[in-house]
Amino acid sequence: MAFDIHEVLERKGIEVPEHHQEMLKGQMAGFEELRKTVNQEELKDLDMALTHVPGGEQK
Amino acid sequence: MNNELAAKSIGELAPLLQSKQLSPVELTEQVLSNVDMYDGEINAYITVQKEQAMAAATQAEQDIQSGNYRGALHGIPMALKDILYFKDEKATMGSKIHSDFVAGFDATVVSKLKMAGVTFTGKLNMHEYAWGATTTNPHFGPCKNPWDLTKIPGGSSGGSAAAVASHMSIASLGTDTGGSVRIPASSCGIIGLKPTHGRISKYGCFPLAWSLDHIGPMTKTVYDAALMLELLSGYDPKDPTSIDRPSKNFSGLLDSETKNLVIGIEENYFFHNVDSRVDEQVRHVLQQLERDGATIKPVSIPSLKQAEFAELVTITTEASAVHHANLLKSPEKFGEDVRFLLEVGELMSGVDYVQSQQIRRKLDVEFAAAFEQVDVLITPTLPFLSPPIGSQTVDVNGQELSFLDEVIRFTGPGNLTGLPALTIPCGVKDGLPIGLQIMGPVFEEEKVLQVGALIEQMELMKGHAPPLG
Repeated sequence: MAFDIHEVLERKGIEVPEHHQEMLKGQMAGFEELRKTVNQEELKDLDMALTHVPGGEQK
Repeated sequence: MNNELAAKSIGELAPLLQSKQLSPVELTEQVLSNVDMYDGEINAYITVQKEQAMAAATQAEQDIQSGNYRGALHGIPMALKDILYFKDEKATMGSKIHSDFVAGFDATVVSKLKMAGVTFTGKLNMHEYAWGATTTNPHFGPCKNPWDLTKIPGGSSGGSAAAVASHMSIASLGTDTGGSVRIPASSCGIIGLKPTHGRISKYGCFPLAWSLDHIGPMTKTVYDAALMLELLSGYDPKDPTSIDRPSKNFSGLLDSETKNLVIGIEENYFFHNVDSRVDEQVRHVLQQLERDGATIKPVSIPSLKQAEFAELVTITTEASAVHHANLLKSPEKFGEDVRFLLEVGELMSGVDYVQSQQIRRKLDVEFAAAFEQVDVLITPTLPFLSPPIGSQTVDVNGQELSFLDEVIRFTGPGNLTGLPALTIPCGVKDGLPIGLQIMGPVFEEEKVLQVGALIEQMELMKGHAPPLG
């Protein structure tokens, strides 16, 4: 991985217990595998399912 | 102990209450008596409100006696997940951080149930902040599965499912962000309905992940789920995700015929890596529906292979945004597993999040195309039977797999797309119930309820009940 997980969290001010560090590495390695399921070429043509309502919620 | 009354559904109890053959006081006493008898072991309740419940039951009795019957939920004893706000009452969210939090207003669903005359018996156990699916709560103790006290009841609405299954609440509400209504309902052998996103207001419900959160009924029968849905549906300007669609008379729309029904199955995703006992039972129902005249049609939803990525990114990121300030300030107050998941969410990138929303759009389009060919999709609700309390893994046909990775595999797509989905018990294997999931087109909850009612008529749970007492 190009960055150190512990360092990223610490930079955000998040205190990470020592025993979480290996677990986080394992979880993010699994996440990298999941990322491989994402078809980047296909995503280029897709809109996103996230909308913002101008003016905020209705009163 | 006479459990007969508390074991009945709303549909059975309402006519007895309306005709004054049954007193709400007697019914509430029975439910509270079950709490006394079973909750010491099951631990479904965080707070029992006996005095309040008996006062409400007495009031309901007076109202009904004087001719002011409010409808099917009047005088029905019910406890709700401790994540829904009741004005001037504690809402812990199953957490230490909010253990003394007092809500300043009623959640919209609570307000509607109060108007309907429900008798509230207390607040139910849940996975801390709804961020997990075991209900092994570090602050209020683990909730246990009434079918087998060594097993989890599922989660995050585990207390709701366990309470309904053990007749400590006639029905309940859960919240569902990755499957948290359907997973415990399936694990405890009851009905769980996640409606279309936007159908039921979430105002006054503490969020887990805004774009995925839903509130849904957890009941003993499909009819009860339909009754609760029609009461709780409707546009609410206080919830920015609420959608302005009129409610329907869902409980009056349950009749349907099997012979013209077209049921879709997506083999590649929803029948991959499933415990053979679950697979066998779900396919048995499909065969029965086919014998009764339904057509079973294979469909393809290719983007489901990206659904796990999109669900993981969306839920972890949004949940970490909700809890970011507390993770900085007092991380030690979170349970170990929730703290870990909040750390994971902090590691996702903005690009990951946006790409996940693009995948959701693709899933919307592909599911819509599938529902042009079929009325509903049928899947297993869970790929495994309930694991032991404390286990981090599940056994699927001899393979030891991560509980966290497997648990929302079949329910998560319903949250990503917001489509309605119902779980219904379809049999028992090795003493544990198995759930079957029915997914339907957007805002057509009546279709999943109708197919649920057809499956209910097969009486697959006849002779099976949790070994209480």
